[in-house]
Amino acid sequence: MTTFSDLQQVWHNQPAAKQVPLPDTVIQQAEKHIRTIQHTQRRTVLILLVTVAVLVLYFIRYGNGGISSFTVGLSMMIGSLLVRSIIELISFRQSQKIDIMAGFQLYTERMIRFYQRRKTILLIVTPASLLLYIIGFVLLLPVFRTVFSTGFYWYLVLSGSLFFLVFSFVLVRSVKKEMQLLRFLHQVGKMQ
Amino acid sequence: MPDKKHFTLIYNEHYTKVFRLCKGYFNGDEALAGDAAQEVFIKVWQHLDSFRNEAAVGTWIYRISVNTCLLYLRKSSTKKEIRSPELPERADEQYNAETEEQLKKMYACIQKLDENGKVIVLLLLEGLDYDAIAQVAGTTQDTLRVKIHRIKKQLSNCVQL
Repeated sequence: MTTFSDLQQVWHNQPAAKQVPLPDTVIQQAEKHIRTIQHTQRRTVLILLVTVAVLVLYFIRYGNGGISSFTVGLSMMIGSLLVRSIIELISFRQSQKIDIMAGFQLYTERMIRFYQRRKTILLIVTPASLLLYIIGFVLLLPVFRTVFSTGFYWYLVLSGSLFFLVFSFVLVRSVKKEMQLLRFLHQVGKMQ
Repeated sequence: MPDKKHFTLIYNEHYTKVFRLCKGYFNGDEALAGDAAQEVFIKVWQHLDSFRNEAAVGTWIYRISVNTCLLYLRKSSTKKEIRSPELPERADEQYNAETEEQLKKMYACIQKLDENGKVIVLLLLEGLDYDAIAQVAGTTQDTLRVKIHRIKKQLSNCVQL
């Protein structure tokens, strides 16, 4: 008859780790991780600011107060990228704020809430911004046709279409992965 | 910035426990356990300044460990799978083939439990008292007591089969 104390003894006598990283190595990695997060956030904010600046400058310079399919199309493309980037940045910051030091039950509940918000982003906001981007792109095509050579025009059409296909594939895959994660968290939550 | 000496002390005292817990969580997979344990201590370093001695440092680290292990395999940034358990061959007398077999069985039996069961049993095996387990699990001792009795029995029976 094996008692739980026997199991505990076996547990404590198990072999130790073959390689234990030095504390300094872990500190270096942690610092690198912190720096990477800070750089990524700064870069995202910078890209957003530059995008907004370019858009505003463009309208001041070429807008002439009129609305054409070109300005609408371009605004839709840049606007959709902007909205999506801002939402992803907010979402990333929210994920960083989830308290890893919370008790298991509370942590699971918070992760469930976070991934439920992600579900809304992935199923509504992202497809909507992709759709806006596509409509914007289509609105620009007549302008491209008149401005660029036939060869370059078709290059833009094909590369644009390929981008939509690849982006849609990546989107579907990340939706599936995050939905699996949410289902898993719901299961964990139910057992508590 | 946290104090390096303080971190090193905590690291040296708790690394083996965290590694063992992660190993139990990942079916005895040493490589995964090592990576996850490292991630746990990266988080410990990042949050060390916010540790306020309200709980014992061990309990605090176990909280980070179970939360990290929970999503370690499932987050998009990690592309890892649990491999079948490989235990190192050891020639010393204390660590015989029977013990090795029992440990393999234990890993397998732990995998059969649900996530909360895994957390509770791993903390029990580590020797934490009910109060500390309740703090890590984020539940009350009363709720825990019933679960612990059931899980202990479940693991002991499973290992014997």
